[in-house]
Amino acid sequence: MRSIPRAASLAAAALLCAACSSELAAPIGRRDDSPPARGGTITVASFVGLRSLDPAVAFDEGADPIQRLLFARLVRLSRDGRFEGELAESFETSADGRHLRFRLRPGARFHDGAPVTAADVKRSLERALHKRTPCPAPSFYDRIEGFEAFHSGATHELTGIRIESDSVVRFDLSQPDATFLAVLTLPMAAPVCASGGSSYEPSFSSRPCGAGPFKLRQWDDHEGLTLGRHDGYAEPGRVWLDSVRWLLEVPLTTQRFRFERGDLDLLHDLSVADGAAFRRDPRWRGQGEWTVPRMTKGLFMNSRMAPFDRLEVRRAVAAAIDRDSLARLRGGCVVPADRVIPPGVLGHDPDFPGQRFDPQLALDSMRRAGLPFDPATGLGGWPDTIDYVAPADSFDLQFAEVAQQQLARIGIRLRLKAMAWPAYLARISRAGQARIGAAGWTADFDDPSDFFEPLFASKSIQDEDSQNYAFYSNPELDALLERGRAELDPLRRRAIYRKAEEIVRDEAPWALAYGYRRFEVWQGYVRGYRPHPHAQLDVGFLWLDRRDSRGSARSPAWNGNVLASLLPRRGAP
Amino acid sequence: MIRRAALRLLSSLVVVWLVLTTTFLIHHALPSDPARAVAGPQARPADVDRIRQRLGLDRSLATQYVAFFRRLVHFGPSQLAPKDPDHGSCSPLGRVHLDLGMSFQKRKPVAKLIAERLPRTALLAVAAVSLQVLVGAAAGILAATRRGKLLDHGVIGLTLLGVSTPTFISGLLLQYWLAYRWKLLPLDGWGRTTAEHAACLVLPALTLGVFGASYYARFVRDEMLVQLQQDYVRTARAKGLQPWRILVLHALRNAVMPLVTVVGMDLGALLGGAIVTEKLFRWPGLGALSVDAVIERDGPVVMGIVLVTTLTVIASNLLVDLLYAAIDPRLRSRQALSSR
Repeated sequence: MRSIPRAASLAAAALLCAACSSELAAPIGRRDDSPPARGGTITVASFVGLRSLDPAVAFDEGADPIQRLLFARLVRLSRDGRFEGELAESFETSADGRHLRFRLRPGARFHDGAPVTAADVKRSLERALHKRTPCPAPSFYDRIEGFEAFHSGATHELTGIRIESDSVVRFDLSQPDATFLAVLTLPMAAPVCASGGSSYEPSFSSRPCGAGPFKLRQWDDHEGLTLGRHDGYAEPGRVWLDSVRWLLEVPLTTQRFRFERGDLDLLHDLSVADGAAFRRDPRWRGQGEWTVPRMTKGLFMNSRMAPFDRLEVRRAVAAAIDRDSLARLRGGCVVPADRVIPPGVLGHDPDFPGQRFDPQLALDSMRRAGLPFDPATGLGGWPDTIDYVAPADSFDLQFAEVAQQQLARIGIRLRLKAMAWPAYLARISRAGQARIGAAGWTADFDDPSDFFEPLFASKSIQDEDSQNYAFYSNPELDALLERGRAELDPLRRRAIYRKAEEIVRDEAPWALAYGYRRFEVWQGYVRGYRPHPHAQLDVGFLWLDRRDSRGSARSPAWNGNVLASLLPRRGAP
Repeated sequence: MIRRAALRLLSSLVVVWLVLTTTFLIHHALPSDPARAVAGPQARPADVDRIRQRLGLDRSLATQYVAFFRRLVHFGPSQLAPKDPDHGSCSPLGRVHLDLGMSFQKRKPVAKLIAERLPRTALLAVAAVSLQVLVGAAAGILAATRRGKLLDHGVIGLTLLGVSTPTFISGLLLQYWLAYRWKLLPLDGWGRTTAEHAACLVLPALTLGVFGASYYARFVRDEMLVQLQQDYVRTARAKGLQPWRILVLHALRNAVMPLVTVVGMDLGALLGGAIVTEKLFRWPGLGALSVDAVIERDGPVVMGIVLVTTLTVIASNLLVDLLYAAIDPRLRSRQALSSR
């Protein structure tokens, strides 16, 4: 009778295998070109939750795509990387770069029906930058005249925002700032209804009111959000959907189950294995696409701690990382990177020759650093083992294992220290605490300065909370970055950041290694959607063609299950 | 009796204070910054500083500690004015206010967050424990009465599998077959109506139930086997009592005594939240809230959940003591003697 537990184990294993080897369902709906048609509801889901919907305080991955539906901004980025007006009908920058004037579109209305005026633009930004508002990034706007006085509470008005008429607003900057349009694309600068008040009030998050293409109908912490079309949106005729359902904190497996059953129309959070399955399946060809990476990852080397205080050691490390080998990991989600600015951010220069894998150059650099290493005997190199810190349960840790093997070939021996994310962040941003470790940066806004200034400028070095994890200081780079932020001419600006890329490549405070992208899939009846290079999950302007569709998104809790059909439904006739 | 109750209450208060103090100290000793967690990993240091000041995290540890306990239970107006700056995070019970502070991340009163979620966690805990006890005890009794037979081996094998399978595997399998393939149940969520809540409850309760029932079945089987060999059972048999009476009224009654302790402890633990199961099935209870709070360094929420969990464990222990007294006549007579 001993065979019974074994039989039970085998039965369970068979069950598990059956679950794992299941085939994908076919896409729902016909794939053809059809003209935009009004109506329908799209249902999407996020793995992450939502802390707040108040644009003044919520600045995270979960809130961003929803806020772009709720709150129209003065300007936004087009697919080809140009700034275009959303609420602004037109905008201009003065020759000296210190004054920006925006003319608002006539007819743009808030969700409460009130027209969007220049005074609303001023009030809303003052609200976000108010002393009492826990805005996570007010310093993005610190070049508006009078910012410090207003933000510290010394004055009641942000003098740098001037109302020229009901429909014209002007921003006066204390210094020219080439990043200013980019930071105006962030939801925290979006105008909010008068009910938002002139300073932060926590309850606004539960009844957010803006001028975006959709307005909030319902928000349950546990069931997600429902948004309805806003007919007073600044660009009438661009919005086709009646509503958007957004489920929150849905595990990846459940998202896939829902998507295959037709309960989700678009799948953004795919596991690596599921992404590969969709790409392999010929029925799903044309129904999925990669997003464009907006992050740069790699490893930092603390330039104030041995052995990375030696330039040649840093260069050796940068040359020892085989970036192409990373592309084989994670089913194509990892994209090799050799420069600071990722492809999804303005200023990315595809022709720039970045850091490259060159084992011989790496060994030569170690020799020049006085640490010759013999790969045949394994002797030489840096004598001690160095702790490499990385966040646990992340791809950073997998990359760390790769780096550990590759750096061992040039005589740098690493011991991996996996830490919880907050502890890791505290460790690498404290002076003298971490010699080498995982590093990464995701675009806050679309500008090269968003990467270079926090990561490599001397002014970002602090004993605590340093964002310059390499504690790297270079007066030439500092001067370049100052010029870059103020330079308005695109060509000259491009040359400045190309030079900055060269300095980082050659001085190697980081070994730049990879970016990360996702694979998104959508049902056959979803039209007009492709991943936006500068905004994730940009679902506001697509349309649905449900001719011949055998299913569509249903109520999130019910999914058309058998038991559901037997039980009474609220609102059912 | 009153003295015993007073001592019990006092010792419970000391336990609560000790647990809260330890949590407070551990939370502050962690090498990470709650203000950074609020502002985001890429927030500029100046912005993080402002958030730190706003949250009161720039004050000394002692000041924060005293402020927490001073605010925890205090007196205030019985009716709160809207947007009252001094009592915005309070839950008033008449003039007595419970104040667990505002969540750093969700920017809502912690007491309100917990009050929303505790009933859902309690529902899941009670459903899961009921399932565990009913299925586990029945399987254990059956196995004990058929010792060495096919049924016994079958129960042992299945319970071994149930105990060895982590909930994130059993939950996923149940979800795959019952919800995705056979469409019998909702995949996850909480629902909006009572019927929906009930349907959504089945899978998470079943997931927790599989594990617990397996454990209880083995536990009851072993206890029953011990009891069935006792002299009083032999005497009962010799007296010609019906087998089911011997089994249920005599052996089982003694066998469940240790089970009551285990059930009480399990119930207390489940009331603190079943983290994996709640996350997997998007069950909006305390487990999901607590794991998020710990990851995001949301101190007030962590303290609030620890307080609730401590109180539920204390309450379930008290319940176990009362049940013991109800089940075991020896305890009742001992208590009667000591109170004389």
